Amino acid sequence: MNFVALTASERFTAVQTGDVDVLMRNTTWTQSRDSSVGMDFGPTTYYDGQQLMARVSDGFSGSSSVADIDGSIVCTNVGTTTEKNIAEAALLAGAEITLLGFETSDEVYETFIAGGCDITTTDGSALVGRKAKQQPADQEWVIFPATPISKEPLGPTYGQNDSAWADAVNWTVYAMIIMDEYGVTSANVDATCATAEAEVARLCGGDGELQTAMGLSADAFHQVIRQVGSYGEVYDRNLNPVGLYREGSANAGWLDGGLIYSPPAR
Amino acid sequence: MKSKFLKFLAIFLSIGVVAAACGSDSEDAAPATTAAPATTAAAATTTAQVEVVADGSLLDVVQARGTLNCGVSGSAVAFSETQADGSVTGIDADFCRAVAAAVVGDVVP
Repeated sequence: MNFVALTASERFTAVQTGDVDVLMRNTTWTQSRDSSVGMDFGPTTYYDGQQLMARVSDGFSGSSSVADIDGSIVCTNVGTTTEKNIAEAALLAGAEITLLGFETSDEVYETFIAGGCDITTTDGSALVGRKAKQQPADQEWVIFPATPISKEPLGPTYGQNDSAWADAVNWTVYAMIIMDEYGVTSANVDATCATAEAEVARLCGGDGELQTAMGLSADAFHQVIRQVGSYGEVYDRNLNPVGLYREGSANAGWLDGGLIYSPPAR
Repeated sequence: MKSKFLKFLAIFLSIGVVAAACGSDSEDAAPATTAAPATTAAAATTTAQVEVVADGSLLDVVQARGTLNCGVSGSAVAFSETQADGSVTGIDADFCRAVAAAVVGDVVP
């Protein structure tokens, strides 16, 4: 397992040159990336949306709107959907802004903390994470507007037109979602698989399994759950600590009113 | 008689091509249930899928290499963060590990 850290503007080239096999890099599924950029997209693993963050001392609150940022300096990352969204949203709201683009997120927040920009904008999940981690004691940050200014479905991305590879990546995610629906976790997967029937049994590698037909080992998804966990387990472990919860969000399971859904394993 | 059969066959095939070209996802199942040639089409599809798995997919490359190269941010809080010891934490990092576990069988390190 080799992780390759990439900036937003490096990421698609890294796939095209073969430096990475897949991107798991907060990448929004868009029409241009899916077509002219030459990527294919897997199942959305996090439904996000772009918001803005500013200082309360500058007069902003949770009920602020894009119109309220008129005259502000706005910092964001280059090579992202974020840049285009905020420019469009400001235009529509009649707000004149100065947009400063940075190659890395760290530079964005360093500049924001130092007062070099009034507003920082990116996916809501990233703002929540940064606020939890980096808000200085002498500043109070606020995230707005309540309804995001864009849709940012984030998920796995890989080079286009390689169906066998796409299937392997996609069904890894689907298996994590289905196992979550059945309450299977890394803690109980061995015991569950020993006695499982029907859909869980197939994903475990038992009767009727479909993993070998995909070029994987029969127990591939059993290993995924054992070594990494189900969708819910992975979500809770990583995102609950920064204040992101599935309940009531688009990232809840479909039976709980969310959008996380998998086709059936049969 | 023979030319009439060929003409019929040509029309039938062209209908098949048009149907395939126009079908949306939800309509794909429809032609498969109509006539005998659908069986031939299904068999051909199965063969093609086996060839894709065996020939030229990144799946084979990754399995032969024995390790997954996964692109992450490294500075996205709770999604992918490179730690002081070089390890990467976060939900995106865990999805990388999941694909590695499925394809290569092991997520180490």
